[in-house]
Amino acid sequence: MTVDTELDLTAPPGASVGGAVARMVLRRVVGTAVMLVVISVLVFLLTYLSPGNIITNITGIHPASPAVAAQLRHQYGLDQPLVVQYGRWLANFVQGHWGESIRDQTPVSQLFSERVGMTLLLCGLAFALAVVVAVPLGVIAAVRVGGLVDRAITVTSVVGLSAPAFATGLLMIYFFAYLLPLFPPAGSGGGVGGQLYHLALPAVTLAIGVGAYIVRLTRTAMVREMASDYVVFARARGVAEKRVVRAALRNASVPVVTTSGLVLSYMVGATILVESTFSLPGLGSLLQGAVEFKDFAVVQFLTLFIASIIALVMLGVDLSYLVLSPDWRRSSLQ
Amino acid sequence: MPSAPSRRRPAMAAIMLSGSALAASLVVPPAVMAAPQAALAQGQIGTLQVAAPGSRANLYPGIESGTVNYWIDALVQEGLVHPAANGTFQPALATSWSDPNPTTYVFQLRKGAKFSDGSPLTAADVVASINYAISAKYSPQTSSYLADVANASQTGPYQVTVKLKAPEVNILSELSSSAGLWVSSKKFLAEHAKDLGTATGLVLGTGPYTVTKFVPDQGVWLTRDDTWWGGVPKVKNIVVTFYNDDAAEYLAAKSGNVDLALWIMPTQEPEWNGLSGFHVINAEDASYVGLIFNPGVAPFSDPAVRTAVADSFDRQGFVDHVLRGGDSTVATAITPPVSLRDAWPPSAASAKLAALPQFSFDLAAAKKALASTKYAKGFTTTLDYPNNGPQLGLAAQVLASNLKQIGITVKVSEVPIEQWLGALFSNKNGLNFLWDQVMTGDPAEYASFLLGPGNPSNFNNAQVNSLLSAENAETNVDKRAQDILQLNKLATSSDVVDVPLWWEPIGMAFKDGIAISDYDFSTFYSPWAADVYATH
Repeated sequence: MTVDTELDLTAPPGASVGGAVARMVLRRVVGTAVMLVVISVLVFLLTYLSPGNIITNITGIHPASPAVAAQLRHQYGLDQPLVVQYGRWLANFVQGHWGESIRDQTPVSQLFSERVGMTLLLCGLAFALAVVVAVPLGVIAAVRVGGLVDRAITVTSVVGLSAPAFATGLLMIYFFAYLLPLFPPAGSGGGVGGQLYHLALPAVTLAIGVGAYIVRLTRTAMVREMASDYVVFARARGVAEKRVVRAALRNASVPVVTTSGLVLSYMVGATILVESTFSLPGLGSLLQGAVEFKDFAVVQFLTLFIASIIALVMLGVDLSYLVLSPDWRRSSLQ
Repeated sequence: MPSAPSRRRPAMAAIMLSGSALAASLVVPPAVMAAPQAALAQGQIGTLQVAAPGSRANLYPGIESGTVNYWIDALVQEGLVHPAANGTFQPALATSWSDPNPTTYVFQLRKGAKFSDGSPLTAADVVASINYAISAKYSPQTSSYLADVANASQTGPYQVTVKLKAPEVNILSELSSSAGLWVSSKKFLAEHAKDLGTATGLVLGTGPYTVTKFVPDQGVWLTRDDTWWGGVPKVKNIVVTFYNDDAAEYLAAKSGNVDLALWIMPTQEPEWNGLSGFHVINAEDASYVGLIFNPGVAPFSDPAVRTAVADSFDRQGFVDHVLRGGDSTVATAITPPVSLRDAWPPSAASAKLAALPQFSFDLAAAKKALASTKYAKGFTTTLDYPNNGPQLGLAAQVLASNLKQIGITVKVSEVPIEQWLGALFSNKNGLNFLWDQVMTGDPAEYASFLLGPGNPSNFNNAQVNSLLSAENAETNVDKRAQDILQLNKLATSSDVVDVPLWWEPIGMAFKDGIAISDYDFSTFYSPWAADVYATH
C-alpha cells in the first residue's frame, strides 16, 4: 500500500488532505505563538526574581557609587517598572530587535549567529549518531529478546542512560584524548574538517545518553510488535523473517519517532554540560553564562529559540505520523 | 576556580606615597624589565598552551574584570605604571611622573612605544584611554577606581596631566593595568566603542602580545609583537583555553595539551604536583579567605553571636588536614604578612600579626557565648560560597558541622560567583565568605576594602574610619603599619565583623621545561609572558 492511497481513503468528506494538514499546522502555529508569549513572561519574571543583582554583576566587586548605579540602571532601562521593561522588550523583539547582552556588550543577534552553528552541528552529529546506532541495536535486542545479545545491549543502554553527560565527557577525554590520544580534549577547531574532528568526542558524549534512550524505546516497541498476532500469522504463513521484522519496525516507528523528537529537550540540557566540559563556544555555554549573569535579553532569546525548535520538531513528528500511522492520520485530519 | 567567570578584585587601598615621596621616585629604573632580559639567555617557546579557569565573555577588564581577564589583558595592554610586589611602582607607558600639587599628576610618556597595529603611542591616545576608563558607560566594572579623576589633558608632545577632584594618594595604582587603566589608541577606541573586547572588536595595546583571535567561552590566541619597547619575549605564540571543568583541565594537561595552568586552588595542588611532568609554584600567601558578618542583619547584630560563630572554626585543623598543608597558612589577620614587607621583615610581620587577639577553636566557649544571647536555643542561617572556590565549600561544611553542635543550623549552598557577589553586597545575609587576593601590595588593600566606604559588612565605626583616614595620609611606613595592625584588631576582636580563616597562595602549574624568571603576586598583572622561557 502507498501513502497516497491511504491519505485519499482517510480524508474527511468534502475536504482535501492538503487543506486539513494546513489547518492542523495553523492550529499548531497559533498555539505555539501563545505558548511562546507565556514562556517569555515566565522567563522574564524568573530572571528578575532569581538570586543575584544585575548591577553588582555589571560593576564587579568594587562597589559602585549610587550615581553610577543609577546611571547603569537607567542605561539598561532597569529603573522602569517591570511591566514597562517587559513591554519594551516585547515591542522590540517582534520588530526583530533582540536587544544587547549586558554581559558581553554585544547584540544578541551577533552572539546567536556566532554560536548557533556550533550547537546545531553538535546536536545534529549527536542525533544522527544516536539514531544510526541506537535503532538497529534496539531492533537486534528485540529480535533476540532474552538472549545474551539482548542482555548486553540492555545493560549497556542502562549505563548510558544513567551516566550524566559531564561524567561521560570526562571518560571520553580520559580514554580518547589521554590513553589513546586520538582526539583533542577541548576546543572547536577551524574549518569543516577541524570542527568535525574537535566535535567527535562531544558528539559521542551527547549521543550516548540520547542513544541509550532510543535503544530502550525501540526495543520495547519492537518486542511488543514481535509478539503481535500479525507477526505470529505472518511467520505461520512462512513469510521471510526479514519482511516480518520490517513490518514490525514500521509499526514500532511511531513511538520511536516520538521519542526521537522528545530527546531534543534532553539534548538542550545536556548540551550545556557537554559544551562546558569540552570548552565549546555554543549556545549551551552562552545560556549558562547568561543565566548566571541575569543577562535578560540573552536568556529570553535563547529560551524562546529553544522552545520554538522543540515546537517545530514536535510538529514535524506529528506530521510524520500522517505517513507512518493510518490511525493517527485519521484522527488528526478529522 | 573562577569558572565563573570570574574572580573580581577588591577596592584598591591607599598607597602611602606623599607628594614628596612621589617626586623622589620620579625616575624608577626599569627593573621590571630585568627579568625578561635575564630570560633572553634561555630557550625560546614556539607556542605556550595556557589553561585558564572559567569562561570569559569579554577581554576588556573595564567590562569584565575577572582576575584572569586582568592576567590575559596584561599581555596586550599597559597602564601608565606597573605595581611591584614591594608596594612601589615601575614605569610602564609613563617613564616618570610628578605631583606638583596634591590634585595634579604629570606623566612623561615613553617615546618609541607602539601599538601592535604599528601606530605610535601619543599623548592623545593616553588621554582618550583615561576618558574611556573613567566612563561608567564604557568601563562599568572599573570606572569607580578612577572616580577621583576630574580630567586628563595633553600638556606636551609626550606629557599628560591628570587633575583630581580631591587628593588621592592611590592614583598611581589606579592608573595601572592592575586596576583601572588600559591604554589603547584613540582611533581604535572610537572605532570600537560598541564592541571593545568582544570577538569582533578585540583589544589593542602597546604590550608584547597582540590578540589574533578571541572566542568567548573557548579561548584567546595571541602572538608576539616584536616591536614591544621592553624587548622580544621568548614565547612566540600563546593559546589560552578556558576550562569550566577542573577535571577536564587536568585531563587536558595529562594528555599534553597544557604547558601552564593558571590559578591552581590549594585543594588541587597535590593533584597537580602529582601529575607527571608538572610542578606547581606559588606566590606568597596573597589570597585571603575569611568570614564576614553584617552586623545590620539579625542575629549577627549581636557581637556574642558573631563570637560564637568565630570560635567554631578550627583554622589550624582545616589548613593542616583539609587544605593538606601546602602553602596555605592560618590567617591571623585580614592583612597578609606579605603586604607589610615594607615595614617589617616577613618573620617580624608574621609575629606582629600573630600577636593580635585571635579566635580560638573552642566549641564550649562558643556555646557559652551563644547562651548569653537571646538566641541561646540556636537559629538557622545561610552560607553561600562561589562555585569556583571548592575549598570554601569544604570550609563551609566544616563550619556548619561544628555550629550544629551548639544549635546553629547553617544551610550551605554553592552558587555561581555572580550570585555570591550579589549576596555579598545585598545586606541581606548576615554571614558570608570573603575571598580575594592582594594585587597592589599596598598594606591597607584589604583593610580599606573590608572596612572602608562601601564595605561588604556595611560596617561603620568612627574609630575605624578615623584610622583609615590616618593611615591613608601617613607617610611613615612603620607608623602606617601600626595603624593597619590596629585596624585589624578592631575588625577582628573588638567589633568582630571579620574572621580571618586562611591565607592561600596563588598557584600556577608549569610543565617541566618551562619556567618563569620572576614570580610574585603582582607578576601576572604585568606582561608576565615576557618572563616565561624554556629551560632547555
